[in-house]
Amino acid sequence: MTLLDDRPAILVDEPEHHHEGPSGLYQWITSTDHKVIGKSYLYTSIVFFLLAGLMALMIRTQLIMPNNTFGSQQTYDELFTMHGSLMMYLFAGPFAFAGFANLIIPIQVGAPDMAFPRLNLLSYWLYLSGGLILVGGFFVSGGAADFGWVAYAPLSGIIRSPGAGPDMWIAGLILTGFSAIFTGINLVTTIFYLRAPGMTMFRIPIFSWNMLVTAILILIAFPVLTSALVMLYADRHLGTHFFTVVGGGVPVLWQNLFWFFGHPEVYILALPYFGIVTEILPVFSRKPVFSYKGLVFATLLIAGLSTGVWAHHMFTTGVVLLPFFAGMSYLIAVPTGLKFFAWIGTMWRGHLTFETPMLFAIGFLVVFLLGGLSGVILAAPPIDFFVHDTYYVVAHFHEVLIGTAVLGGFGGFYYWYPKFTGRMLREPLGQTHFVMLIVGFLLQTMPQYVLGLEGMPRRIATYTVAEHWTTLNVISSCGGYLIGLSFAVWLVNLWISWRHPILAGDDPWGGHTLEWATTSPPPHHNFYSIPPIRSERPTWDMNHEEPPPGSDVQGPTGITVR
Amino acid sequence: MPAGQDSPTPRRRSYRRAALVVIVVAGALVLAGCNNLPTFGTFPPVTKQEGDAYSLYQSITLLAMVIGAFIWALIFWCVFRYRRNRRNGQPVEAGAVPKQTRYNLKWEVAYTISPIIIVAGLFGYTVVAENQSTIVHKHPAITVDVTGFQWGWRFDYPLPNGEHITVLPKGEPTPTLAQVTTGLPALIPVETYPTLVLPEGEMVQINLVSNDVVHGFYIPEFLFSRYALPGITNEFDFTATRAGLFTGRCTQFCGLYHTEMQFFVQVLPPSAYTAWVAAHEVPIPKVPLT
Amino acid sequence: MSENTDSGRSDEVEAAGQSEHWVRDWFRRSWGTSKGTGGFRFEAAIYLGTAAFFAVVLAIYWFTSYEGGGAVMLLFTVCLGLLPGSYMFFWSRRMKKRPEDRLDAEVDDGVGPVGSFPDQSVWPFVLGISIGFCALGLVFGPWLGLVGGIGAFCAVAGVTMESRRGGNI
Repeated sequence: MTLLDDRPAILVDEPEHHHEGPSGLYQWITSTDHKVIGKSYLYTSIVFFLLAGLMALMIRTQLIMPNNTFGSQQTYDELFTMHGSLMMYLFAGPFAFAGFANLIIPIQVGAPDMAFPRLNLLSYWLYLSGGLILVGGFFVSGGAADFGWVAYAPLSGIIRSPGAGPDMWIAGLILTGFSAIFTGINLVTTIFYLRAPGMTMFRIPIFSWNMLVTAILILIAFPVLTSALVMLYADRHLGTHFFTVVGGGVPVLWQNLFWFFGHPEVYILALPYFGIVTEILPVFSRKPVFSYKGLVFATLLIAGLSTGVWAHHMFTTGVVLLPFFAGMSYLIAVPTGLKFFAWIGTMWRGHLTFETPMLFAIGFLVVFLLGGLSGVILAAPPIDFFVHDTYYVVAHFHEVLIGTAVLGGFGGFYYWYPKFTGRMLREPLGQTHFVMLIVGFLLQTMPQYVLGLEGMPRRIATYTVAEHWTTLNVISSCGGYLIGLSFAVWLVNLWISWRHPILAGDDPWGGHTLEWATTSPPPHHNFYSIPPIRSERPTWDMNHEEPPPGSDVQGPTGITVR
Repeated sequence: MPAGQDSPTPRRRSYRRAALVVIVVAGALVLAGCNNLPTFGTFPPVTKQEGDAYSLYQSITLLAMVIGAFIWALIFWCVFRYRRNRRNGQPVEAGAVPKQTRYNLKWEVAYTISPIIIVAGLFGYTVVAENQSTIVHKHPAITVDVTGFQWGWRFDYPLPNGEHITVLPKGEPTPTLAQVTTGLPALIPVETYPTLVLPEGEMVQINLVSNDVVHGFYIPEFLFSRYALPGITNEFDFTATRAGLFTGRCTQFCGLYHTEMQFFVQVLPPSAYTAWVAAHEVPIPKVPLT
Repeated sequence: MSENTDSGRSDEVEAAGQSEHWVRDWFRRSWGTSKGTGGFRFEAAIYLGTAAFFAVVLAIYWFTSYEGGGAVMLLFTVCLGLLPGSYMFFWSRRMKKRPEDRLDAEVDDGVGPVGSFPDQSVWPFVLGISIGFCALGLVFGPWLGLVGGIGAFCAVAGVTMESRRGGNI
């Protein structure tokens, strides 16, 4: 096991390139290697993340004082719409289910590449062109889409949202939707058909399990979004009346369709990051993951339930069946709680060390718990009636999404960066990033709960002195700026790692799963040799005592479980 | 599935006992405190219909806080107690490996069952509260038709004698062209917001509909909101229990001047309400707003 | 699906033997209880489980709310689970356990070509950008769609020719 203390050695030259072939831009454009595509996805989604983050800072600046005129109402509407759209469709999803999944899944299950390499590359280019079209809305006359990322009909119809911006929003989302569906198919096929010998379904790491379930959720959810978008486009330009009362349509149908996609989407954004955290915690606790089968079961159950709760976003419409959706929403707390206890059980009596990925994973536990518990509160319709569409909900979903996609996601970034670049990131800067991020985040989000309970609706451009919301909004904005600064630290960290590389070695963390058994960065088609796979952590087995074939015996003092 | 655990040592038993005590104390706290809990940031409700919703909010928030504190304590216990470098006051040698526990069926079953029980209890309480909140009485004392439009509210009181009182935003319901083109947020003066006048202690049925896009009819201090949907009329009851002036807002984003779509709710004592009706009664026919 | 060309990893079709207890045999084969079959069980079970779960949810939802939109979406989710699930189920009862289905498989059991993985190709890029132009055609007019369509046609033709030649493997 390599420890952090023994490692640092300044590289004289670049890490070795194991792969022959064209280099530079042409390679980036044409390579069907899952690692290149994964890196493209990762960095593209981070660019969109930083862009959406800047929009968030502008939103917080507008709200920092009452009657503020930092931007016009129109600009403000465009900003929060595009902030939400970019974060949800272009960052949080693709960052994990396309970026990390492409980079890590084939290696974790012992495959040479994704099952459909060219489809994989196509889905990246669909994603990029869709993303560019979405952002391009800012540069057409009339501005970008301005109806919120949920685009409720009939506000999103041609009469009330004319212009090219909304159409570009629709077109961009159709493209990224197809990209996600293709990636989903690719992931399922890779995990089902390309595992290494001995890598049974109950031996693939939890991250791969979560990505598999996410991929199935994508196949369930994204086609609904794409069809709803086509219907919306038809309403706008082809004279149909799906969502307009005038022609006999039903506006609530949009909400039903959208949230049938939208709620699984929330778990499409969350499950991969649960997986990342489940990879990080055992490694830095020096223990196997606790309750592996329980976690798999919980993941499947979360996915199933999440598809049956869409109308808990519509409690206040008055046209949905409240007890059904409240009950299903409450039930999600059970598998989620199971996961929490499994994570704690993984750390329990371990030998914990706190490298940056572990800090992010623990930060995730702390923050996601807040978001999860306020989620249970929101699942009660009579409570949802008085906090729906207020800042309470804003605080809730930012805790969930930043807890997963940012803390979990960047934890994964710090964890796997040595694997896909062969270099280390600097620990002190990583710790600074973490502390600034989590302090800023709590400062930003916790006051929003109070604001929501005091009746501040979301998406309002400004407020007056009379409402006494100023102090809390100032705290919230300052927290937002601190988050922004923390990512400046992260960029500095990347730059230093680029200019002054520190050699990572194959296995800097003492990892458990197959990706740590190959070189950093992995060679073309991933492996020179694969260790025998006798449990869900073959690399640990390789570094410790190897269990006999045919069994699931685990480690030197492990117990036998079939 | 074997548990893979030794028989409990006295120390381990003491942990379990401690956990049990925490759970019992928390449960007792919830039960005992239900009548006298803090507001947790929200308002004590003005209407009778939201009484249960309010106490549900109080108890569920307290419960969430207790559970959250418990899980945070477990997380931080792991973080501080099982640090490798400080284990039992001295660092562990680098190669040492902790016990490789993978399953513990007893605990797994326990932490699966207990949330199910909690959630089932919450669900029962929730159904009671939501029924109280959403039930529509057949014979309300007064009916008010509320219509949301871009960007304002219209309150229409059909009176028993066939006449109407209609309240609209005073002055310009939407900002002027000049304000739009300069791009400045055009805050409509407070005086122009319409006021929904309700009698104290009487059951009012609200028929809520929208003229154009989806709006949200939200009165924070009533602890209630409902979407104003185009084409679908939503009905619900209010029985205000105390007089006062409250603010209301649109919660669902409805276009450019969503921010300005505010209103007031004035709850008057019954006699004052009667006087208000007498003063505002005008025989105008109900015309749909276009 | 990548072509599994090697016998070590192949999906060998077992001749379906006729038997009097065909139902029992069918179930045994389905869940891998008879010798020599039962690869792919969990994969099939995941999809079929999805279908079963949503069938239950659909039943509860329909009989408590009689709401059409959600019921249709749930129904199609059931179908989504059934379609690949029954295909995999069909094969799982005709298929030997693959090395990746066996707990005791050695890495050597999987030797041989795993599939064909084209190394690089410019066509997905062309296709992606062309479809992007088609989508822009939705916004700015059909002429952009025509440009994109021509590009997409070239790309599809290109990728097909590339595959026939064997590609850059």
